[in-house]
Amino acid sequence: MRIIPRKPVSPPNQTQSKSGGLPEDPMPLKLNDKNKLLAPYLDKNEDINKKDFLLGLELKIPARSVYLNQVVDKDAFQRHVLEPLMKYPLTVQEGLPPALINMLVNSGPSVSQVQTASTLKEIIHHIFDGLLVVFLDGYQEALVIDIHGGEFRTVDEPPGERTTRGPREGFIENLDINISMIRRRLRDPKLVVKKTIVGRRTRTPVAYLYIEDIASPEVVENLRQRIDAIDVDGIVAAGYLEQYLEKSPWSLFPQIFSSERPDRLVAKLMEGRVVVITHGTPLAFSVPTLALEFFQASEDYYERTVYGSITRFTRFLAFFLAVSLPSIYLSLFSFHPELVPFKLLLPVAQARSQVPFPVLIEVLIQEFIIQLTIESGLRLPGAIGQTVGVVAGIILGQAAIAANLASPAVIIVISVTTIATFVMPSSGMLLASRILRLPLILASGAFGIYGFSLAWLFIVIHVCSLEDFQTPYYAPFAPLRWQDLKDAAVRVPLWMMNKRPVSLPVSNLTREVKSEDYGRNDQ
Amino acid sequence: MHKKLWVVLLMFACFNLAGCWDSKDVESLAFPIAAAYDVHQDDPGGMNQLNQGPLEQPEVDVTVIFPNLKATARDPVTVETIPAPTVGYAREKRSYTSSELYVTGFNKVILTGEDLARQGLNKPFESLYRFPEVSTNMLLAVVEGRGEDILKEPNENTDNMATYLYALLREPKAHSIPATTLHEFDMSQAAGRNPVVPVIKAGGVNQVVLTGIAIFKKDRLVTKLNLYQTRYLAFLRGISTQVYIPFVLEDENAQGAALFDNERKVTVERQGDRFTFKVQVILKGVITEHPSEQPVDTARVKMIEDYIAGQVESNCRDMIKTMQNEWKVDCIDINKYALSKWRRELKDRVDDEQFIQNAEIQVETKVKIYSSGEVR
Amino acid sequence: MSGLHHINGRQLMFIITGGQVGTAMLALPAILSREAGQHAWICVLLGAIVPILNVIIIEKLGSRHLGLNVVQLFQALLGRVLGYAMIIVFIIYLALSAIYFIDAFARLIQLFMLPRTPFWITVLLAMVCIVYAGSKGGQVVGRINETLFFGLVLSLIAIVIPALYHHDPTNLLPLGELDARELLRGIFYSIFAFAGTEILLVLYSQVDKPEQVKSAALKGVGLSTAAYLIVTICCLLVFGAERMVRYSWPGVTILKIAQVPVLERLEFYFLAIWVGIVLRRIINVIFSAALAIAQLFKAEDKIASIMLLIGAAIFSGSFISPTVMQYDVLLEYFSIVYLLIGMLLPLLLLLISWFRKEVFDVGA
Repeated sequence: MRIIPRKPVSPPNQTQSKSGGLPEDPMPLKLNDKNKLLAPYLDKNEDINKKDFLLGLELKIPARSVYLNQVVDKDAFQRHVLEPLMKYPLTVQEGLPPALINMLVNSGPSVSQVQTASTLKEIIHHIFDGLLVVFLDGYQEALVIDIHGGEFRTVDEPPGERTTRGPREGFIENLDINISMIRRRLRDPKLVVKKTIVGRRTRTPVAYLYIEDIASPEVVENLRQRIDAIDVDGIVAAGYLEQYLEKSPWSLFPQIFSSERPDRLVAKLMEGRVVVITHGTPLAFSVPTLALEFFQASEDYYERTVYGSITRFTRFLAFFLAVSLPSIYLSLFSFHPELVPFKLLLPVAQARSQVPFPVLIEVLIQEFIIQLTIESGLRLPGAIGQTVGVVAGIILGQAAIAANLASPAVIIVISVTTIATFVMPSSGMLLASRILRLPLILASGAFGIYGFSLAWLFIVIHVCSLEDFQTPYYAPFAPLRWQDLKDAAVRVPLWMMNKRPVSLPVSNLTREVKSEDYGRNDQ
Repeated sequence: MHKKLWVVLLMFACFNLAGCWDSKDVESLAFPIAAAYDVHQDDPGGMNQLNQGPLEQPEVDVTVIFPNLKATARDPVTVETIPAPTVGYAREKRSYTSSELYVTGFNKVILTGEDLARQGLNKPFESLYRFPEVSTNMLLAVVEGRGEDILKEPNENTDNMATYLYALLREPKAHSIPATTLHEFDMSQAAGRNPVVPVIKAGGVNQVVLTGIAIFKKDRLVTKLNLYQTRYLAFLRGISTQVYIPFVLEDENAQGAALFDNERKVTVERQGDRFTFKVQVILKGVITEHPSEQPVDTARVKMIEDYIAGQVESNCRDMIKTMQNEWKVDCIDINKYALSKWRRELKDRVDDEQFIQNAEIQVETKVKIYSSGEVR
Repeated sequence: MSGLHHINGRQLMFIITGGQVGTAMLALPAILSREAGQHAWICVLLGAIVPILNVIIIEKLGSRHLGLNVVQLFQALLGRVLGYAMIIVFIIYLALSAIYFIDAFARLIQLFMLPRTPFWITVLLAMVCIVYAGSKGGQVVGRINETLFFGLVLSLIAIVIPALYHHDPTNLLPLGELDARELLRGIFYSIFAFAGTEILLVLYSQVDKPEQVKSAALKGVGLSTAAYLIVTICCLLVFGAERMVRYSWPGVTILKIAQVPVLERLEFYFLAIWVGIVLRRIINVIFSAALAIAQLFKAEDKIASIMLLIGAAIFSGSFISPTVMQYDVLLEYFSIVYLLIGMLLPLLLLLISWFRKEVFDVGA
């Protein structure tokens, strides 16, 4: 098993820098020397732009700007950096003004984020992080200006989490825009945003957000330490980070909840969770995670209680069907036919008499076919994917029956199972249900209802054993927390949910100051 | 280290999955849906050749009906009679004649020939209690004649005879013949109780007719009652029925009818060794026929109620007299009330003939008509 | 105290219930009817006094020696050598109980579900689950008990359904014919059903709030008693004492008389849920034995390995499986052994604790 490399955790509040082996030499004073020092790192790249110019109106100091093409906003560079610097009111005097860099930081470029850097390592990192660096002849420090630009996808409705009544915004690949989406919804001054860099080569910016007076400090610190301990080449997507963070990587059950919707993550923050956003992925995830979260959808809270409760309960039922229906069919028709109503048994038995395979093989074949269909539908573009679904669903099923490869009953069972699978609002639990089905089928195929019961017992034991960030995965069912059952299989009215989930470690359990009747009893 | 052991253990458990010892695909099964047990007679089918051992003298003929699953089968069902020493043993014999695995859990109906019922049914039924897959909800019936004759009769109006029998013998729709399951037959053999079982015979549009009820003393058939007598037995025994009871409007010499639900209450007292049972039969119903110009008013209803109560009480008393003097068996389940008060003392003698003979059984009937339907 | 095995008060309540309710639930009505007739349900109520006393004794013992685990407790009161010997005896008792329970369970599965599957396969599959559950630690065992308790509720509802439609109240009468001897015999036989409270000796030290132990354990016994009472009364109402003695497991047979639309046969669905209920009992017993061994060798974090070893031992022991007819005889011995080791041993320890002025130093 591959061991994830971990370096000793850093003390708190220390800026993490992943040096990647760059020397920390101070920059020379002369511009030519700077260029020579940077040449081995920059010259081989053809997407790095260098602009030489003279800084100052009267006293003209040679300067050079270096930036990545299409990462820096060119228009902002010309108007808010180049022009102000070239027109900077520098009067001719003896020698170079010693405090010029500070002056430029405060009143040079007309942009909000200007800082300085003076070592080779810092400057190289800033350049490749997409910042604009301006070197001045005669000064060790360089100006580092954040004028990110480039093309990004526009904010759109997340394709995997559509709602009929909720907001239509989803995350995009840009970290700062994603953070801003959360900020706009959660204007609490106690919302803290911390940033770090993960990956030696990708240097992926990662941000973690939490509400200071709700989230547990231990959870925040634990998360910070785990993120800082990740010492790998690169994090390409949020999914990488999730896999490095989760405690039981071999478990079939997802242990980290992720979503494309900022409104969902805001709700998670308000429950005391910590949200992690990764640059480059239109997804954020939250910890700690409960199994229950994978059965909750935004719609549950935007719709009224009754509807929300019914759909929530339906999802639990759907999960059970998705995992168990083929095994139940197998148990009944292979081991315990006495359990089947006679009027149902007879036509099924007569249809099955045409099929040359045992029930177990028949179920496995159909299950395999449906898995192929699902996978092919995921990869194909929209219209073709739908066509494949229709072909597989209708034509293959009919053809299989006509060719005596399957009985009608098993086609119905597998179809209902597949539909039930896609009721899951979370892709993680959807995948889990697809995989869990198979061992249950094998167990039922070998030992009937006994095998089915044991397999489920195994699943329950496993789920009970999962725990991370001081939070049992199967809470509030086990350990049983009555208060949290208000938002479990059913969803009570929002005005009854006046405490945060006790299953989560939080600093403050009270959601709000309770208003007695919300004006409901007013005449 | 223990993770490797886990993997080994799980793999070992998985290899055992290759067994599937109890797997039996549904299309490879023969599942009888009705059975008939009769005293062994001549063997026209020549199946006696299956009994070859010294302890294999056939004493009972076991007839079963099971559906044919193959689409190419000529008949939808197969009826087969196997003679065997015991009912349980017949299952072994059946495996010599059928390629399919015989599964007993689907049986819905058991018929017994009258001869076998008189010999006692605990012996043929004994094996049914031992097999977990056998349902104790099977309906029982005694056949006037042989059970196999009923099963072998093709029924063209329904799927098969078994399905029809099940529908016929289920809970009474508008008559007083109760449905008796195997469970009830067994429980009714406790001290102070005796079972009753419906009686059928061949005839009628659907080839089977309910003709009455059979009274058992524990597991042996004692006598059969006709449909008229069955009604009063049902009242006395407290079997929930819905029956039409005729009445005569004496002033107009016309006959009407009313539909009643019944219940009973029983109390028991003793003086020394003399037990007095008071059975109260309560009938509640509606008038369904009143061929008279006069409207149904309170006085009229009272008259009808009194008439019916008198009729029912008189017939019930006659039945009790016959029960005590001729049958000498408690077929109305009243002894259990005596047991409920003096169980330790009575449990060994409550089933003696003298006990029911010497008991005093009083009957009182209350009739309540609460409606005359849509018209008065 | 290792955090891996922490349990809270509520989990203890469910563990106690889980440690008692198992195969006994199905056989108890017939066994008690044989002894006490229609008063079988009274035997259940009175039989509950035994585990209640046991809980009180163990709680008193534990509260006088807070912070000591079961091994340390034995050694503190009995000395190193005798304490060591008695804890071994206790562990062997738990292991033998587990063998008895799993054999009875496997026989039932063999009869009702898998008649042709080799007995040892049935036992092996169950043991894999049990060992997996116990290897995760006491916290997880507590959670499993919490979850599976609701399976017991569903089972009881299933048993009540046929009793609603097929009952005869005269089967419970008369009440006034109680015979002391019959009652005592009934209580004696009910003891095997209530065996399971002795695991509190092992689990006491794992409860995070010791002040909750007494009420939680007593509630657990109350729940078990309620379960047994419901099953016994329902079986008496449906079968009557006289007919019920013919059945080995009236708790399952009662389900055969229910006619439920769609589900057809209730007993198989009941058994599917009941598998979890029975295995819960065995998990609790085997885990307690494993935890005691772990504490003996000061290796509480190696519980997984110990579970594997003890699971293998119990699996081997299950090969000397008695027949169903021999269970009745074994029942008597089991009840006696439970009284001696499960009841009298804690009482002896409590007496020693009361009368001794000093205890042995166990380096706790």
